[in-house]
Amino acid sequence: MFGFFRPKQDNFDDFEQEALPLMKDVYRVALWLTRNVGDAEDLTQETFVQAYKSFHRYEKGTNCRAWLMKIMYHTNGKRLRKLSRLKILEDPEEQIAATIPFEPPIPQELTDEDVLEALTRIPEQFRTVMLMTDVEEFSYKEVSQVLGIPMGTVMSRLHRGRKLLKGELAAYASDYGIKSRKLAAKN
Amino acid sequence: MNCREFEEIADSYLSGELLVETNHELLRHLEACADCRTDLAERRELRSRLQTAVKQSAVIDPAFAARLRSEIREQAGSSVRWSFVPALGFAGVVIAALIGSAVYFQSGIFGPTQPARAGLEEILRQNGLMAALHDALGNHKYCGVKFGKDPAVQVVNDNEYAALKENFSGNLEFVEKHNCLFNGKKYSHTILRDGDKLISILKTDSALPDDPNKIVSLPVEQLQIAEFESDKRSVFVISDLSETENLQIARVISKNRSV
Repeated sequence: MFGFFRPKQDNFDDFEQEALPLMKDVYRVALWLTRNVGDAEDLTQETFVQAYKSFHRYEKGTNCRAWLMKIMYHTNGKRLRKLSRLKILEDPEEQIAATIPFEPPIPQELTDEDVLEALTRIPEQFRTVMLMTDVEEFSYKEVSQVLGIPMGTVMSRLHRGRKLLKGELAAYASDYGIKSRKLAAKN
Repeated sequence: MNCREFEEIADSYLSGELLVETNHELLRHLEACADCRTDLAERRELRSRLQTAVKQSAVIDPAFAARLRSEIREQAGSSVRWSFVPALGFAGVVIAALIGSAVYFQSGIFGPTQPARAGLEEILRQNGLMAALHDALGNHKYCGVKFGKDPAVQVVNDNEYAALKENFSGNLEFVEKHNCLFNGKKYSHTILRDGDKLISILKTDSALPDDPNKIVSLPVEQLQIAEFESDKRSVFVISDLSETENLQIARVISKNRSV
């Protein structure tokens, strides 16, 4: 193919208007992916630098936040492979699903810290889907596209993740002698 | 809808993923079922607690945000990003020649234009330019990838640039210059701009005999290509200017080539 390269029109203004205001959202998910402020900042930075380079591929009018998340997940995947921290689990969803206990009600007295602490104990694949749907409020379709998994998997991971979190919170409360509303009502 | 069916779709209801009709069925069930109302309230509460806790816990450092913003702004200001503008395949050049594209030989730097129409392929072969042209116009895959300053490869020098500014009718601005590599051959590549038109000037070592007065001009679709041999280098001027303007640039460079 013949051709030549020509400089592309600078699009910083568009990027500043559309993508940069979403930095806090990207950082928030990055923090949960990396569990470390320094790594989360690095991941956010890599994501935005890459996003700016690829901004000509972004279709205006589509969900910029989902587009950025997709870049972040891709970037994070590369980072993990680099660190050789990827562990292959043997069908963890089935293993965990089999051990999900009954669904206790959510204790009222738990603090935000308790909720976050419980969230750290949820396996990453479930936690990620919960963060994307419950916190970031992406649709199933968007989560499916960002994470590269089928919509059915998004739904089952969300279902199991929510159950696990509820169980974790109940157990946490129980450890500290906090009674749930239902238990309190019975007493 | 019964309680079991509610349980199956409660997550999707919370995420706003249900069809309107299913939503209505679910709401009708809730009106009649206190247990499921409680269950849904708990699910909603869990979701809300999670959302609040996560959003409040992750506050981005404003200093970091400012640094990243300015880094991208700098990147925007200092670097020129490149996009590939496809022209014609090489076969396309030949076809273009066959359907009537012209090749002009210029005798004398500022002499009158005396076009000599002929088959492009034949002329390229006669002048041994086919391979060189193919390389120079090749897709420049690595164009823009700088491989360091190489003093052996000249870019458009000050003398040539000053002459261009003085003699070219348009308003030339310097955009970028670099060395690039294509098919193992080094090119010095200078980019100039005349308004919204871009001009690429490529130079590469050549074994062809010098003849700076003989400028070959090839109109290929929207691109104009002019080439001449000087100081053991092939010099190409490729632009989306008019043919006359493109030739004018080639002539000025040819006249002001430094020895």
